[in-house]
Amino acid sequence: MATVGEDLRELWQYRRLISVLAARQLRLRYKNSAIGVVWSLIIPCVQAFAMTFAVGFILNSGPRNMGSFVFCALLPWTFFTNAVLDGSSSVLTYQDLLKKVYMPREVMPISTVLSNLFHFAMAMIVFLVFRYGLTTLFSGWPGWPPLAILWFPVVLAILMAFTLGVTFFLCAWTTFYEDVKYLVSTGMNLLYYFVPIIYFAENIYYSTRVEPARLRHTLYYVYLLNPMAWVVTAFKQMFFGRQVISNRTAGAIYQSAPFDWRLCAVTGVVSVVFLVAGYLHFNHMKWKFTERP
Amino acid sequence: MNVENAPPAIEVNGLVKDFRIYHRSHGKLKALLAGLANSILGRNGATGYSMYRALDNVTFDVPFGQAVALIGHNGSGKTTLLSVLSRVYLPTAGYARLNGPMISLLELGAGFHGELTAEENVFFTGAIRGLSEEQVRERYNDIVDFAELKAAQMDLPVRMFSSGMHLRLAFAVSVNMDADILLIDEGLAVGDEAFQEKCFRKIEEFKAQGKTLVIVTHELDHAERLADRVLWLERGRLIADGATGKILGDYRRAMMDEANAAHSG
Repeated sequence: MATVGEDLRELWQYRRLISVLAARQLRLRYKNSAIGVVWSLIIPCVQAFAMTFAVGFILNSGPRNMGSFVFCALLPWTFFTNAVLDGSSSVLTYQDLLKKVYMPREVMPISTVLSNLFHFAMAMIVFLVFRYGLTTLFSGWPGWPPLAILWFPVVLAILMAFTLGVTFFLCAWTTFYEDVKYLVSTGMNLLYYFVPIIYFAENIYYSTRVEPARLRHTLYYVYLLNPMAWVVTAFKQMFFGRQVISNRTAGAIYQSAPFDWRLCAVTGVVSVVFLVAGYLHFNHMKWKFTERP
Repeated sequence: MNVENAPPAIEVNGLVKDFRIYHRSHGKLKALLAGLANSILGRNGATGYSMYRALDNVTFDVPFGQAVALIGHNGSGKTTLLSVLSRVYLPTAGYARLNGPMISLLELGAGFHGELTAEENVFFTGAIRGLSEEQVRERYNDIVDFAELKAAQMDLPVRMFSSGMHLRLAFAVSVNMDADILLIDEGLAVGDEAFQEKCFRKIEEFKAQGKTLVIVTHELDHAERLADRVLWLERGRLIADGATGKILGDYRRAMMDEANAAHSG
């Protein structure tokens, strides 16, 4: 058994293979499609418009620009779900190759997460065009994002760390029990409602259904302990600043919370713990991958 | 250089490899619950798998520049040994150490994807084998020439290739990688007679360059032609190790006796 240091050093030697594999996955995905990479742009658009229609128009809840909030929240969430789902079956996908050629097994989930990062970047571009191009055209300049936008690299790093950590765990288990794959996609559907996409995390803070106020404030912070809940909240805070988030027809007016670096630090620690534990667990299991039943 | 003190290219010491043979029920909920119940109660129940020893205390060294052939029945552990040397499996006990860059040809064309073009596959295979894009580009023409393909064909997805073209390309890529130690698994019966001869010459060229070869083969003629030394495996054990002529003679006799015994019933 190799030590952690040796494993990491070897992974570093194979860093080029990681990018080659990621590029290959992108190439393969759009190989026989007519518009190719444009699909990476269309999918988030359709998702955001459908969601806006359902939440803003049919349910008539949330503020006037609910659509941009939903779009923004979907950026990290879509990346997370796709990366985790693809990444957990990545070793199985490359099983035949791993039985013939040696390479560190970590390369598989890492490159899959990276190829999903490309789709995330594409969706970011669409979002920026939507927010600063289309919105300006139809309803005026939305204003520059707040200074909190400078935290973007940190938030992205946290998102990556958490996604990789979860992927390492699930990839190791999926390789032995394919049931995990179905469990994960079910879990993702459930987790969707515990992440502030079609509502705001602050709604919990302001909710009048939970009394006393101290309890719901605690609930709010417990809710944000889920790294994805915080990352999605942070995305909204970084691009929109403080905004009115209460329903346009409701009486009381609530504002979203500003970016909080203390919550950022907590989430950062949680995510790094996930990453380290996931990596160690994956390495502990990785030699059994080629001998799976 | 003092030859006595130089480390051998391959050191294998006390190598044991056990596999779990999973029963049909393994991984099913019932088996999981039964296993869980047994472990809680501290009972030795059915575990859903049994152990199979594929390699049993195998020890040998290969000095640099030697060509070794591995022979033995099907299921004698030849391919497992080669897989452990290529680091596909971790040994259960003992160790297998390679003192130099290695390339394993356990299966030609491993990593080829039918939807990608021949050129893309060449670059991808290079990356798996640890070559930079620059290094692959340098030997790209050699690879195409060796595979006897035309430049226009390199832009086709390999799913459109005939199996012969596919194998020629795979062999050409593999032999153009840098390595001092080559592990080859029956990769010789490739293409038509002329291409086979070309492959043999290439392997002989490697030998002349002082590279170390380990070849698994059922074709004793191949072993005779390429190997300096033969290792004979039977049921995971190394039962004979020596000069090619002698071991192959013994092996042929053993095969004959076995066939005769089977015939007379």
